Amino acid sequence: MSAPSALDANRKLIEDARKAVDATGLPLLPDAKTSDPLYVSSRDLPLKFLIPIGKIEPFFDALKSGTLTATKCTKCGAVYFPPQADCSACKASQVEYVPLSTGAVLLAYTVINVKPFSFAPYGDYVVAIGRLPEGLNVLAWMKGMEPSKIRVGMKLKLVVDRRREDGVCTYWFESA
Amino acid sequence: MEPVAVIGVGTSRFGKRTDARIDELAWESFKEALDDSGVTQKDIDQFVVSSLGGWSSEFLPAVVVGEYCGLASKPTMKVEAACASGSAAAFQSYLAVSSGQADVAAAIGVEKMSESPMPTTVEFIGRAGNYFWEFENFGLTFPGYYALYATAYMDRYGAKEEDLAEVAVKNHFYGSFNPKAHFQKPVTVEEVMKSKYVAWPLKLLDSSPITDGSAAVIFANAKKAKEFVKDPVWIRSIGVSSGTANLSKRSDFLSLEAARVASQKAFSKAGIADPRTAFDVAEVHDCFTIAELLAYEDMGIAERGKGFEMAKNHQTYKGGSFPANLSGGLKAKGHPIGATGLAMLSELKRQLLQEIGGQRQADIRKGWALAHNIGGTGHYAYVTTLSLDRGAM
Repeated sequence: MSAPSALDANRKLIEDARKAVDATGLPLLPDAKTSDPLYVSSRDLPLKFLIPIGKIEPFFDALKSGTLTATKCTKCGAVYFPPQADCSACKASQVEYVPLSTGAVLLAYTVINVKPFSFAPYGDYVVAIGRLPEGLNVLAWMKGMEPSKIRVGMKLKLVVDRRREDGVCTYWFESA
Repeated sequence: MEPVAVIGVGTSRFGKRTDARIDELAWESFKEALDDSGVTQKDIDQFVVSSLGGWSSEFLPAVVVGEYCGLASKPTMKVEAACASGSAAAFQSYLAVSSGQADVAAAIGVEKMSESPMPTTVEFIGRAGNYFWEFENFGLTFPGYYALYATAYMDRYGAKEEDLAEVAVKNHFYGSFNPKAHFQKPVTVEEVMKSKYVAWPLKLLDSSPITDGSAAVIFANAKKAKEFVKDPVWIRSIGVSSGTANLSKRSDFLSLEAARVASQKAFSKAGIADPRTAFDVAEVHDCFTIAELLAYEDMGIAERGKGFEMAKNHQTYKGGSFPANLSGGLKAKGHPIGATGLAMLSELKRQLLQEIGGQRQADIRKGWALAHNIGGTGHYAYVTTLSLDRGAM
């Protein structure tokens, strides 16, 4: 089953609106369900965000070499995952990067059956939250398990690697 | 602190409203609220617009709605608290009136979710948490967030998918008597069970729909309330809290901490010792069936882990100990994000004044009502108590 892509839906709208303008001078189309007349906007806006990671670059350096890290405040010892460059507890901004344990216990999970369009190329995926022995939780995909065999409380291992589908370095859980 | 009255309410018809633009849709509920209260625009000192947007074309809905509704030049702002944006607008209006900054304040909530193709709207809602750490790589969806709570809850307390379905059955039942509801057809447990999975274990019929709609509420101090209406309803307290953006930062997935804190604040301020028996009627946040069960438990209406039994035993139907979502709830009435919190208050004012009538009119004996409105997955929580009694101030 392939999910309808928003890009496909938009392409069809753009094409149909263009035809309507050619024929009538206005980009008016009836709604597919209600038949109400709709004006199709002609100013498209692709969204692409450029997100700064400079303050936590060591996290990404470690990720590239296969380790998932948290930040630890060198002043008060508070540990943050996701990593934070600033300690909101004591206001210090000196942190060290500490590797996370690779063992975890499954707290909660779901199977994403209806996917966001930007994930449409992927098959159904399992999102899990695992509790690490140090008391931190990690939210990530869980791979290599039949969803029907997954149980809350099962032991997991955290894997850091490139994701097969897009080559991006990330982390996921597998059954331990 | 001035006591704050609700003197006028209105809601548009909810549904796929391809017949109306965002400003036209807002006008439907605002006009109804003007008529209900008897005030005119010149009597209104300020207005707040709640809308989440992204999927709709107007970037500044407060001024677009303000101009259309004849409110331009009045102080305004747009507020956002995800699915609790409407309650945030109510809260801002309440603060303005209770502090004496405004005599009369309007809150208008509106959402045009069908203005983008459906996959775009689904994508935007999925980003409503922490985009960078939890969406970019892991593609959560809104049902996905609540499904995480559902699996943990079902595992801990032994609830079944059929138990969750009871909430959908109840809310669709009441939606069937609400002429403004998005869905006006009852459903059975079997139909819910047969609907397709959107985020296991949640199915399409466990989920509130993508809805267009608006709701408006006009608030006033005691002097203006007396001047305009003979039967005001009083806001007795609003409890507000927030939760972490990242779900990974939550200590467990059995309860929404923000809802627990917000309800305790609301009950404490209103002097409610036992919320289980204090209210004639409630609107609770049932964006998904699991969310309604969490609502009972987070507010102390049910013991932890017993919410699903309350639903199964029909205690939250009319005539039960805690009638909840006699409007049809978000589940059947629909969930136009920015309008939802104000739609809850609109419903409760009409319930308390017994203007609803028929099958879904609650029995009003104590004269108290409760609104529980959650933004995101416990990212924001607003709990509001309303009463026919103004209380001692």
